[in-house]
Amino acid sequence: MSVSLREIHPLELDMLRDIELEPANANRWRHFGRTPSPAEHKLLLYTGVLEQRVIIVDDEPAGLVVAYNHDPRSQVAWFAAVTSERYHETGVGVIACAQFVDYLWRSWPLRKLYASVPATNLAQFASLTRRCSLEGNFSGSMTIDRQPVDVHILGMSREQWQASNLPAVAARSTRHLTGVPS
Amino acid sequence: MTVTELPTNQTLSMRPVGGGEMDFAYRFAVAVQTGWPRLYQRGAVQAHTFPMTLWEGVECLFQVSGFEFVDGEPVEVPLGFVGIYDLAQRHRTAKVEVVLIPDATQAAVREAAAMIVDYAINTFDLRAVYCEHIDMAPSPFASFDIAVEEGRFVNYVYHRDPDDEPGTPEYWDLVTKTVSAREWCVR
Repeated sequence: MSVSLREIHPLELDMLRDIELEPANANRWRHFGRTPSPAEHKLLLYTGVLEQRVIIVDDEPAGLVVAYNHDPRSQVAWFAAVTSERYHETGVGVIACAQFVDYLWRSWPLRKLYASVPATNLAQFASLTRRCSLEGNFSGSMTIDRQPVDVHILGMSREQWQASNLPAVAARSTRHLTGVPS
Repeated sequence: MTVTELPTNQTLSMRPVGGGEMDFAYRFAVAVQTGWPRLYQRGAVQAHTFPMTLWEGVECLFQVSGFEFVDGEPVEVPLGFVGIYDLAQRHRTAKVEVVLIPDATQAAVREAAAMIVDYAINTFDLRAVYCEHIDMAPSPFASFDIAVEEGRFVNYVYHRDPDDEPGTPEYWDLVTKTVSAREWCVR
């Protein structure tokens, strides 16, 4: 199985919407149960976004990685990932995140990256999240399936990234990542 | 600025920000800079985009005023702003902001914060409200003993004064304090 990232092609927009609205993602991803129209989805897809890439698994679109809430003065940004449910707990999300974060560090003068992770998703991304600092724990701040879920805010500095094995993970797995500075 | 207590024990009032307050809002935003974290994080305040920036992601925005007595009559004096933004109806949470002039008393900050928290919880049936502040300044929730620090984004905010030595950037923590509606209503 090869995992790579590339720019969004206009013909993939409906497919990305379908992935975001899959039952396992719909309540956890940014729409939180809403089903925006295809036209609204196209607008929302780029709202507040610094960069994003389609996750490609064996030449098929499998999800999306996004950098958003960029604050250029403070040199921080947030990132998030969603994959089709058939790739949940396969490691695809972690590899894609590693590739994307590596790309962000190379491409932008960022000091820190942040991720907002529901407690229910922590285990899925454990190999990534245990390299981060826990900088927030918002008790019950999300409602998923009528249950309050804690949200963890994880921060990673450029130094933390470089001290981890994640750059090696990204390098090993990167095949077709477009636009990566050498 | 002197905040005078009215006979009703109410010292502050708030009203929705309209076109008439935009000039004060703009001058205020330029003056307080880091004191208005939501705007500061969006970059330099620009005159031509200011109204859009001011309301971006905002649910409610009120101007807070105090009163001074002039010739025995109360005269309204603008003190700053309170607002509700990043409302998540699904999760029943929102952020509130309390931005008053630097000379405002701690009692005025407390009262303004209480007004907007109460409004947010009761109007939108929220479960929790959050208030972000930069660590070098006190939180508007500082005097609420039910407020819990749930987030501290370490070295999140860049700051450098024009007279700082070159190459000596300073970073401040961005702190989030939470008030739960359940605790609020018990009090």
